[in-house]
Amino acid sequence: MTDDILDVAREQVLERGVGLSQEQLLAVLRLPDEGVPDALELAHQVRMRWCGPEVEVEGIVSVKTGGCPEDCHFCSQSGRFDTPVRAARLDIPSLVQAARETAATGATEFCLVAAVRGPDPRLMAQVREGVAAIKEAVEINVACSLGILTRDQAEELRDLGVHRYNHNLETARSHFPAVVTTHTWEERFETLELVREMGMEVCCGGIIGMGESLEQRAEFAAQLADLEPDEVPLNFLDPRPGTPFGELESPSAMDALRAIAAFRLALPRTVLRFAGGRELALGDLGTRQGVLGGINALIVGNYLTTLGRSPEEDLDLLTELKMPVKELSNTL
Amino acid sequence: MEEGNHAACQARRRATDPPRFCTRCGRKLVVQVLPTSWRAHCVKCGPIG
Repeated sequence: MTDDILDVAREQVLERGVGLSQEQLLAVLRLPDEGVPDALELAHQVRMRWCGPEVEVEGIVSVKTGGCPEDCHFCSQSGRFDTPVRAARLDIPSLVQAARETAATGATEFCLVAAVRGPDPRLMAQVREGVAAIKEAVEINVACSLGILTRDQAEELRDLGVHRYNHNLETARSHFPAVVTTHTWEERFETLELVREMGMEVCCGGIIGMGESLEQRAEFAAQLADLEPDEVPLNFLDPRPGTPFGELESPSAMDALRAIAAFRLALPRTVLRFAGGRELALGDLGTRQGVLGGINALIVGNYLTTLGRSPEEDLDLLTELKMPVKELSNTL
Repeated sequence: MEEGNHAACQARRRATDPPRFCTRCGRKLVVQVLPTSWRAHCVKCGPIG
């Protein structure tokens, strides 16, 4: 079975650039441990063939932390759960400094993230001022992740020069009600369609290890492929104390690596980004295996409420692997 | 607190989490994580770290 699906993928994905189907992805996700190195090797070849050797580097920052009205079961920023996260807002000078420090690492993307259902007038004003201040001071692409958008808000973000908009579908459509009850997968999908309509790049990913079955993991990869996002951030569950998923186990390194290979074989041309939870699920060795197994983008440094590896560790890894960091002019 | 060895849990949290509670008064801290640093303050006791 191992040889079958990888042989199929070699011809279909590597040679022709056609992503695997949901059924084929399930076969990848069911590979035995001894099949994972070959899957990663193939995923790496697919990445090199269809994306090239460059790695896109991004920093993210929370401009509005905590107090979210939604009930995403993985999230410590929900105001509905008893977590240690307190509400905070980031001032504009600190935001610009964060963008400056991110650019200094060589990153070409900087994403402003807010813990909201969608932006209210106060948050839009903060983002309006923040994006303008960053663009005035720092050479970096600005992305946003602000929840569900109205048409007017999407239009304004585009007119502000927001390069890419993130809104994760988080998981398979069939599993979504077990993860979030305060809004629907369809509402998220509508925002993604708006983003595309407005001409911003679409960034959409999710979290592996939220109790979904392998069938649902394959379903999710196939649904993302149908969306044709410009970027897919892949997170691995970090069970946060006080959240409904706080007692789950984070995915094993092997499961995480199988997922990386599968998502690359589903999406041969996308920016596939290592996002949150990789330190816990994969550690240093697994990070290296992922970068050699289909990943071609990283969030460097810290996340929204938790800490990550130092940028230097990741950049040293890329240097060692002779993978150049994508430069700003190449992102336009 | 349950019995057992929590050293591994604590080590893991130290690696991935900034301080969450004020060690002086026990209040939840207001924490801002930034890409290459973090800062925290207690509304009663002031800045941490």
